[in-house]
This record gives sequence, C-alpha cells and structure tokens, in this order.
Amino acid sequence: MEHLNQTTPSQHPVLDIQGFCKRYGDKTAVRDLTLTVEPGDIFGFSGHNGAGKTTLIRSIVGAQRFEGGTIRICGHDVVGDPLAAKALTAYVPDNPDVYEFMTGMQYLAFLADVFRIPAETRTRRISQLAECLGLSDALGDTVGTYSHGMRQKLVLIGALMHGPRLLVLDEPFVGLDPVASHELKGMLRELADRGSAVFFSSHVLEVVERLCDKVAIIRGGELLACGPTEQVRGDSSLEDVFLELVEKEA
Amino acid sequence: MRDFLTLLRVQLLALANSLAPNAQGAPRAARMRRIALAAVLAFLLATVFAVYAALAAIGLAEAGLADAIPALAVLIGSLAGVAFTFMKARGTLFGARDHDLVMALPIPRRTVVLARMAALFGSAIVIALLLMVPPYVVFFAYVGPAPATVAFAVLSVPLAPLAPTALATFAAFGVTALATRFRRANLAYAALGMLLMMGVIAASYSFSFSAGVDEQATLAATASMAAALRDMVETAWPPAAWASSAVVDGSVTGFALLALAELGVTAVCVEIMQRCYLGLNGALAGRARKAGGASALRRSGRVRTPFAALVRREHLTLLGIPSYAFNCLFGYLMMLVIAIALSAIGLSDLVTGGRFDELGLDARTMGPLLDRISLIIPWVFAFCASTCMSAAVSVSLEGRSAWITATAPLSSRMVLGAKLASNAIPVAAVLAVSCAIMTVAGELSPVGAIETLAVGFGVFYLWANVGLGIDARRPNYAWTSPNEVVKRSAPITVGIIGALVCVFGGGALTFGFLPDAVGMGATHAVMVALGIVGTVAGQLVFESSVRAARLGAE
Repeated sequence: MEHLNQTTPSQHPVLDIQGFCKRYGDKTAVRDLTLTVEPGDIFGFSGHNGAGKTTLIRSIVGAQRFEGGTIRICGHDVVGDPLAAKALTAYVPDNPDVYEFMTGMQYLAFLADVFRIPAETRTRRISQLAECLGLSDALGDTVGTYSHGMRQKLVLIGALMHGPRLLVLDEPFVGLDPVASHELKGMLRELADRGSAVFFSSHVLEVVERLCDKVAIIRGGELLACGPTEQVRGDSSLEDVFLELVEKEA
Repeated sequence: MRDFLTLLRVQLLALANSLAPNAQGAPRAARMRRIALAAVLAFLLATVFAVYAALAAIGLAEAGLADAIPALAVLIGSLAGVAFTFMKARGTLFGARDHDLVMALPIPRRTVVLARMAALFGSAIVIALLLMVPPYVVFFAYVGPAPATVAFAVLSVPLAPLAPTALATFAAFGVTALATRFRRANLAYAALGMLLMMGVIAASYSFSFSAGVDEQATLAATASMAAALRDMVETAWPPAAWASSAVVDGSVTGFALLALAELGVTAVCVEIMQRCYLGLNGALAGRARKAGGASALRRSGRVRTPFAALVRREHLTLLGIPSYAFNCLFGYLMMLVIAIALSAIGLSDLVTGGRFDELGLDARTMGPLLDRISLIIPWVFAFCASTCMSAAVSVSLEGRSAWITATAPLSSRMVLGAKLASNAIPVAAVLAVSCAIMTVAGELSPVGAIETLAVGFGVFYLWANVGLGIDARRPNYAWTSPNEVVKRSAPITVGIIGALVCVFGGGALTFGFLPDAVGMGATHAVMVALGIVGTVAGQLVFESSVRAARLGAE
C-alpha cells in the first residue's frame, strides 16, 4: 500500500506527544502524558475503562481540544497546523457512526474527494480493501442497513484508502468477524512495514502483546508503563504486568 | 406496576435529555437553564395554540354554530394524537435504540409495550388538553354549563386522543416499514407532506378568495362550511358524534359509547401491538433495495473537489432526513407557487379577491394602489426564503458522525462555506426563477425583480448565517431525533424569529411609512439597499463564525 502523502519530514517521529493534559470541567482526565511513536511502529495503548485512552486518541486526531502539552504528527502540530497533521492521519473510532443516509460507496467517494485521491487509485484501493474485508457486495447499500461490524469495515476502508502516515484506531477489533480481524492485523503490519505507524487502543491484551512492537499502559490519566513490548512485559505475560501495575497503583 | 413505572421513567429521562443533552463536563446549572428555557418556550407555544383554538371556537359560536364546537374539539384532540404519534412512534415504539436491551430484561413484553405506548398516550392527552379545553370553555360560555355536560366534557379530553393514537401507531409502523424498504421513500414521504401542506394553504386562500368582501356572505359561507364539516366529522368518526351528544345534550348513552369505543379500541390495539411487537420490530430490520456492489464500484471513479464533495454531502443529508427536507424545502415550493399564482391570476385580482369591478375601483385608482401593494412582494419572498435555512442547523445535524468532519483535513471556512453554499445557491436560484416568471408575466417590473432578489436574499443570508454561527459555536451532536435540531433548536428558532422581525418590520417601513415620507423612487432604492446591507452583514457574521467555530481542535 503506497503512501499518497509524501510531505513527511523524515527526521520527526510519526507521533510525538509531550506533556499532554486534558480536563473535563474540574476533572483531570489525562495529566502530563509523554510518548513518541516512530515510523514502522505498531503501538498498543491499554488501560481500564475511563483511564483516558479515548480522550488521548480524540485529541491526537483533532476531534477534541486539550488544555496542556503538544501533539505533533510527523512534525506538524495538531493545534498550530491541523490540516497538515490531519492529511497524514486516519482515524477509526470505537463507535463507527457514519452518515446513515449515504451508501457505503457514497461515503468512501466523499472521503476520497476530501483526501484528494485520484480516480484510478481510489477505485483500485476500494476494490482491494473491500474484497479483503468482505464488504464489496454491500457497498451499494445505505449505511443505515449495515451491522456494527459492516460499519467498522467501511470505516477501516475509508481510513486505509489514502495510505496514512499515522493510523489511529480505538478498539478496532470490537465487532469484527474472525476473518476480518485476521485481515486487519495483516493490513496493520503491512502499513507499518511500509514506514507508517499504527497507534491503537485495546482491552484485548493478547492481541496487543502479539501485534505490537511498543505498548503503553495508562491508569487514571497517568502513564504507568511505556516502551518496547518485550521490555514492558519482561518474563511475564502482558496481562500479568498490567494487573500488577494497576493493583500496585490502586 | 413497578417495572412499568421504571420504564416510563426512562422514557421521560430520554425526553429531558433530548431537550438539554448531558454533555461531558457541562455544568448542571447550565443544563437546568436549558430545560427551563425549553419549558418556557413550550408554554408560550401552548398559549398561542390555546388562544388560536379559543378564537376559532368564538368564530363558530358567533356564526350560530356553538353546538358544533364539541364535535370539532374532539376532532382536533384526535388529530393532535395522530400527528404526534406519526412524529414520535419511530424511535419510541419502533426502531428504538434500546430495543434489544429492554427486551432482554426480565420484564413482560406487555409491560414494555404499555410503557412505550403510555409515553405516546400521555403526550397526546397533554396536547388534547391544550387544544380542547379552550373551545369547551367558549362553548360553555355561550350555551351555559350544566354539571353533567361539564363532567362529560372534562372526561372526553383524555378519552378523545386514545383510539386515534392507538390506531396511528399501526399506520406509523406501515410508513416506517415502507421507508426502510425503499431508499427514496423518505424523500417521497417529505414530498407528499409538502404537497398536502400546500393543498391546505391553497384551500384556505381559495375559501377567503371566494368569500370576497361581503361580510354577511362570508359569515354565511363560514357557517355552512362549518356545519358541513361537523356533519362530515360526526359521520366519519362516530366518537365525535357521541362526544357531541354527551357534551351538548348531556346524553349518558353518548358518553358511555364514547368511553367504550375509545378504551375498547385502545385496549385491542395495545394487545395486538404487544403480541406482534417482536415481529413488527424485526420487520423494520429489512434492507433497502440493493444497488449492487459492482455497479457501486464503477461509480467510485468520479472525482470532485473537497468543497464540491462537502456541498454534495449537505444535499444528501437534506434529502436523506425527511423532517429536514420537509422543513427546509417547503419555502422553495412556496416561492415558485406564489410566483406562478401571481403571474396567472394577476396582482389586482389577487388583492381584490377577484372582485375588481364590484369594488368600484377604476384603473386610475388601482394603479398607484397596486404599486404600493407590490412593495410587499419582496418581503413575502424574504419570508419564504427564510424558511429554507437548512444551513442554520447543518453542523448539529452531523450528530454522531461529526468525527468525520472533525478529523478530516478541512478548514472551518471550507466546511462552513460548503454548508452555506449548499443552501444559499439554491435559494438565490429559486428567487431568480420566481422573479423571472413574474417579470415575464408582467406582474413585476424589472426594478421590482431586483428588489425581490435583493430583499429576499439579504434577509435569508443574514439570518441563515446567524443560525449557522450559533450552530457552529455550540453544536448539539447528542440529539436522539433530527426533529430536536430541525424543529426546536436555538439556531433555527433565532434564525426564523429574526427573519420574521425583519420581514414584518421591513414590510411596515417600506409599505406604511417610506412611500409617504420619501416617495416611491426613494423607497425602491431603500429596499435594494436593505437587501445589500443584509447580505453584507450576513457575510460578516459568516467570517466571525469561521473564526469561532468548534468543528474540532482546529
């Protein structure tokens, strides 16, 4: 899968978060979080419910403002230079809510227009990705008739279509059938092998452990551990490390 | 009973949340203020409806038809239940988001269905109370109250909407099922609604047109029409006749029949509904007609600019949400119908009710009079254009899909500009076509056409931008039904009320004051200037909105 976005300053990490803070009213959801994701990384982000995973992810992709720190994507500040940052990013939310009145193809064509994907490229990519994920036959149907898993696949096709430098996914394996889940893991690995980076949150620690080169564990808005997967888990399983860290901090 | 009350409480909480969404981190006081504001607006609206119902009843009583009031009150109460059910059954009874969750609870299906239908019945009764009590008060003021008739009248209020509401749930299911099966059924539904509404307006006008200027003739025509309507209602809907005999004559039999029919039909409908509930909801899970994956793929190659893609998305949204289409497309139809009617009938016949000769006005008198009256035309078109402001709620209508715009590499200017262009260009085009029709027919001078275009577009553009600005600064993405945004959100309310103030204020100024003060020539110049000022002010509001929009972290 070639990149359409060739403007990446190569000396920068794909994702660079420094001192990130986010508050909802008086409540601090995430405080002073710092991490970097390099080209080729598949970065897993785990934590209990309400730990701040979705809060961080929504700030990375520009769907939410934040109070402190900086987030840079390939050197582009998501606050100062949002359009450049967004052009290099793709996002798959935990709830794949897309326009119910559009057909799957109308939605993909809309995204292709927004990301300025040439006609030939978009047709080829949509065809390949829809075939891989088993959605080709449903692309003419309105999204309102799709199941959760089908919407998830549609959003994935939309996200992968423009060959993003950074792919951000929030609980991407929820709702996918085993075949699509297997295909997705292959696609993420392929994307990373081509020099992009994948950043995703998941509760499924076995998947994180098997798929990710780097992991981070968050609790109560604070980073408990972050680094290469082997280093974080040591001789134990990631699940044991997670439980130990969470219990120690509680 | 406890389960029933628990489920009913959930329905009421959902209603409260739809009025004032509980956003993350939002202060409780702000939410309470929004609920209070919604209650005040509801009260004001209720007062307007109550006054209107009372005035209509007074009109009937003055025409000597006080006895017709109870039957027509029951009709109004019944129709209110039907209309409300059509609006709310989908989402409350069918296709509810919590359907699976609630059906998995250890609560009998009958209780679930009863709780959901109770929300519909309760709301229909409140509306009936509002619409039926004022006519009853007028009725008793004219004929004098008796204990039995008053008691029957009071009891008929909660009874009247029961059977119509229960029957309407099945009709609403039919429409919903149809809309699920056919991709364009939503649009056909909105188009049918608009044509019906246009028919009602045309019928009302043709009645006043034929009534003419003779007061006695008008009164006689009103009386005979109302009497015919009463007879028709009593024949077509027997409960109205039974209610009428109970309230007018104190007939116990009439009231017993009314109560039996309303409660009996309701009980049967609820029982059928609860028995078929799972099947009916399952039937709605069907798919729309398939276009085919291969043919869809072939169409993927057409490339648009991001701006054109955004404009197309706005048009697809407008056509894909029936209440949005109905609310925002009706004005376009009105402009064209008025232009064609004015061209076909002529301004002089239109304003004299077709009695130009009977009024004894000669052409020399009529000429200046018509010149003056024609000053109102631009404001009429400004009113119609202002009802088309789809852009005013277009940010909130993105709802749970708002993340797509927020995370796409699109500037606020481009996103808001596309929303505005998708609305302003069709409005300008329809205004221009309407002006061309009237000019070609000789009913509008070239100056009048420029005035109509300038004023119509200026008022629309200013208030559409004000609405869009409010929506872009404080979008409500948490709605559960698009009606919450399309019909009663702050952007649309402020936009419509602001435009109305402009239309009536501007109309009064240019029709009632300026021609005498500065002459017709200067009045024409002022009108064009007002239109230009509105357009420029609208553009300034847009620039401010682009800077303050909250479409993401940009």
